[in-house]
Amino acid sequence: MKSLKQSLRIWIAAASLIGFLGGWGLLAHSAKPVPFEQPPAVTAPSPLPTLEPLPSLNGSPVNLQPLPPLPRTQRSSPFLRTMGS
Amino acid sequence: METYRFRAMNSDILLAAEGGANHLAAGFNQVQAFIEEEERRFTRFSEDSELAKLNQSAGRWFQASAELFEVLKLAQYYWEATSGLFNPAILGALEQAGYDRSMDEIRAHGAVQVGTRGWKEVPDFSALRLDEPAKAIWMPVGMRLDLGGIAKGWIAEQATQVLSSFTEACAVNAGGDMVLAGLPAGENAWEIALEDPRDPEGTLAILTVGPGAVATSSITKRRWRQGERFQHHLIDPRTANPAETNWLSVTVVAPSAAAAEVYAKALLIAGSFEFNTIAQQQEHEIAFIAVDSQGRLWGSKNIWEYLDVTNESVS
Repeated sequence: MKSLKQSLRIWIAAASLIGFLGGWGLLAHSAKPVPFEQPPAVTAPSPLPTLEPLPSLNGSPVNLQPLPPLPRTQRSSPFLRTMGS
Repeated sequence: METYRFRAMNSDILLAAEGGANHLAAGFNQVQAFIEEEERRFTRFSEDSELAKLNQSAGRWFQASAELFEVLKLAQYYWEATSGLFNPAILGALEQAGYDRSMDEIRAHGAVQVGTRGWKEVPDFSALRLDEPAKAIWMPVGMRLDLGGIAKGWIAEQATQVLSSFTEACAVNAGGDMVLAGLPAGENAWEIALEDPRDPEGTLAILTVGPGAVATSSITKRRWRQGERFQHHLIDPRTANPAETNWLSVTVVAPSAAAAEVYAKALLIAGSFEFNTIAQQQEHEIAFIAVDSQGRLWGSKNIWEYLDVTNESVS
């Protein structure tokens, strides 16, 4: 039992030492860190290209135009009215 | 100016003429008799009318009167001129939408709820065949016609000719289809109030028009409730349903009543998004003014020739 404890201690100590030396070696051969460089200064954004205007929903404006409000005539209303059907 | 009013074709009819009351009384009576006779011919609400008999004869040749044949020739012409936006073969779709009885009856009793089966599309009006020498008409099975608007315009035009034999200046207004002959004494134009489709008592503008025709189509007049939906009488032949338009009314000034009536209807169906298709195709000298749901006015450039924009105030 005593010899088993002794050999376990030796095994743990050896594993720790091998792990430490292995990690050290790994770090020693890894790539060196790149020196920190100042980022380039922020410049004003370039303007975006202008979009073409969308075609009017009212179709061609050639033939259709909203009329301005017409003056309310105060004359007596004509007897003919458009009514509509 | 003498005036005479009566009701026919489910519309208010107004006759106006220059001259003495006694002399014109005979003319007014003659015109009323003429309109009532033509109403009996063209109504779709009576099984005895010539139009109803034509609708019952689909699939075989029908011997027509000169009057019915003439209106169908006009209908065929304007169907082509409007690329099919004017199509009298919408009767099935109109009935499906609930307009299966006269508007006076619907107002009194309400619309019948109709199922959704049936009219998915309006028949192709180009299938109609006319035999001019024989005055015969052939329609394919399934085609049924409503000549309401174009017949009313044609009747108003014929009625004006009748009244013209009694006077030098007269006007016939058949529920929005107006025909003007001559000029009122001392005036250089007829004055016509552009009715606000949102308020029949309101006037949006005054039109000053010479001899010719003025017709207005509106979706606020012949309107009813069918189940949960509000329907109107202006069927879009492309969808077989009441047109979804962003205009409430369109008034057209044109040389003839048929042209004014047809283009008012087609432009109203087209609305501001498609009006150009119709306006560019028409060969007639027409001007139009439309009213949208906010009461704003839209129009062709030449409508300015007919708008009275003076600030003259006479109480």
